[in-house]
Amino acid sequence: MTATPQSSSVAPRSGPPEPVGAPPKRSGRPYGEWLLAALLLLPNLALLVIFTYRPLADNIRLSFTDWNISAPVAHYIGFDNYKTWWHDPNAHEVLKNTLIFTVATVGISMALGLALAILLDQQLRGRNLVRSAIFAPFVISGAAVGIAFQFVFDPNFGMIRDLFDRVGITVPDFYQRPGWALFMVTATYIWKNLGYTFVIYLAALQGRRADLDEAAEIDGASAWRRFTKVLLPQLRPTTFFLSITVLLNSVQVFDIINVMTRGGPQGYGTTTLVYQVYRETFVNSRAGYGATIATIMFLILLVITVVQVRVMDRGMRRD
Amino acid sequence: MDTTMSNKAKNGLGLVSIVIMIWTIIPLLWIVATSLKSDAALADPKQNVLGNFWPKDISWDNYKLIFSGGASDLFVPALWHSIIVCVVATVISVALATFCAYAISRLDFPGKKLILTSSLAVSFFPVIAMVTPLFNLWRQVGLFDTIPGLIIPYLALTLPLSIWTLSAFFQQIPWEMEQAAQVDGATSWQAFVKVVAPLAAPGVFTTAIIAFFTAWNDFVFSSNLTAQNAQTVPAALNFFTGASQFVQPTGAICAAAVIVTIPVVILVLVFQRRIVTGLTSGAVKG
Repeated sequence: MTATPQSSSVAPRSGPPEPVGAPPKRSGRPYGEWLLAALLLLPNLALLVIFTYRPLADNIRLSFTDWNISAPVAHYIGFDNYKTWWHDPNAHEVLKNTLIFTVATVGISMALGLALAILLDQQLRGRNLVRSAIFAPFVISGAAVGIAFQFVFDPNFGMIRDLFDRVGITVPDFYQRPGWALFMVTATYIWKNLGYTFVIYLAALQGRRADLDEAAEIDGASAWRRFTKVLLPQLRPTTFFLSITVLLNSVQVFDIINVMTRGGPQGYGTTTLVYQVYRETFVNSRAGYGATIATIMFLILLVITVVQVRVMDRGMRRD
Repeated sequence: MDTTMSNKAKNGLGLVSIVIMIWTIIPLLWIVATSLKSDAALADPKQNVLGNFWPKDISWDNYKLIFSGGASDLFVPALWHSIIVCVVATVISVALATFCAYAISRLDFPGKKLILTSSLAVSFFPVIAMVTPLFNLWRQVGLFDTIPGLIIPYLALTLPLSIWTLSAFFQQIPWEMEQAAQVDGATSWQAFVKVVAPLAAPGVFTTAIIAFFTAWNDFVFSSNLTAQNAQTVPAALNFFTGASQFVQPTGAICAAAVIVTIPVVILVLVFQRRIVTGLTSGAVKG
């Protein structure tokens, strides 16, 4: 190995003492080191550039064409697809669905995840089992989750129908009514994603300084004040991390919608941006238009993330 | 905390956690129960107990159907594809990410931040935006519906994640131990094998688990870049048909969903702590 040891970049530890003859930083063979780094990085960068960045650039190029997925050639048509999208009445419904689905999943799964994390941070019998049970849905395939909840919401023999029949309440047909169908896929995804927000919040709670909370308690602060003035500010970096990762994940949900509703009912009842890209590209064969929607989706995500980072930065500086 | 809590409050919290357990477990048990119902039990609630929930007589027909019966042509190859594609993709992705994370945390070269940022930035792109161009490219080069044609997108899917997670792990390794071993007379290779590898192994292993279940659960690539020769189980779930075309394949779908879920549930039960550490490594770094 040509690597020059970089003792100065590592925080001092209680381990073995620094050898006296250790070369100071950058005095070795920097070019050898650069060469090794390049060798180690090359396969990664090549893969990312060829199979991630290039297809994404290609997607933007295709968004300016009239490419039909079954046709060999695509013609350049400028911003026509973007104009079509702007006037597409379905696009508005899709945007609305995406907004409702995303805001609900981000908000509710984060709030519930925090509540559960606070609850299971306590000393309770069997809490490890409960923790695993809450976490498990997050790592289960979305397709399998979709199948499970298809039966939960089934209008004829589903679990929800069964439960509500007992107390004499008629449940709506979740598959036929667009608003209820959107509710159904949203609830299903919240169920799946809760495991993620829960474990991340729990890890943050376990890593926090409990003494602040105890001090506030001794000072006579109410539970609510301790929650809003002590706990929430401490959890702010975690909340920020979750708001970005949950948003990016929930905007991309495809499997649950595909398995449960295929974007319906009544046309676009549960179609979100991702699902519209799929429908236009692979169902309607309008691959150029699908690429346009994918590009628009990317731009929206980019803007939201930049705004989130800005807001968070300002919040951090104020503290 | 617990010392100040009364027994009554404890019991209340216990009750709440039981309710939560039921809320998370019941839908999963529902698939298990359905997969164990015979066609007759699926059609007739009287053959089931607990309000049509659990079958009185457990039937393995659905599992026979997917492993050796009418649905095996679809399910068995799909299961093999899932295993091969995900294992190969995980091994390659974690090996490459280890090189990359080692270089980032250990070597001195310009542009480190750019590499980390560019691998993280990938997660801001919608995955669906990669599908169409790859679909187009794969058809031109003959990779559509092939095993490598699915391994490559899974590398693209898991590599950024693995680089990010591993870099976070490697930042915490006391690298000066390697140097100390060399001073004590070990060769570079010995120092690497005896000192660095054992320190790095837990992080590499955790990253492998996360990469594996990310690939295992993928639906977007598999359902759009394969037809039958490389289709994985999550995508195949959509194409099930019953014993005859007039029978709803409900039981068979549930059996297949149970099989595809078992590996990840085992991973969670055994390695939950590690998985959580891996998932939070990005959060801690901020």
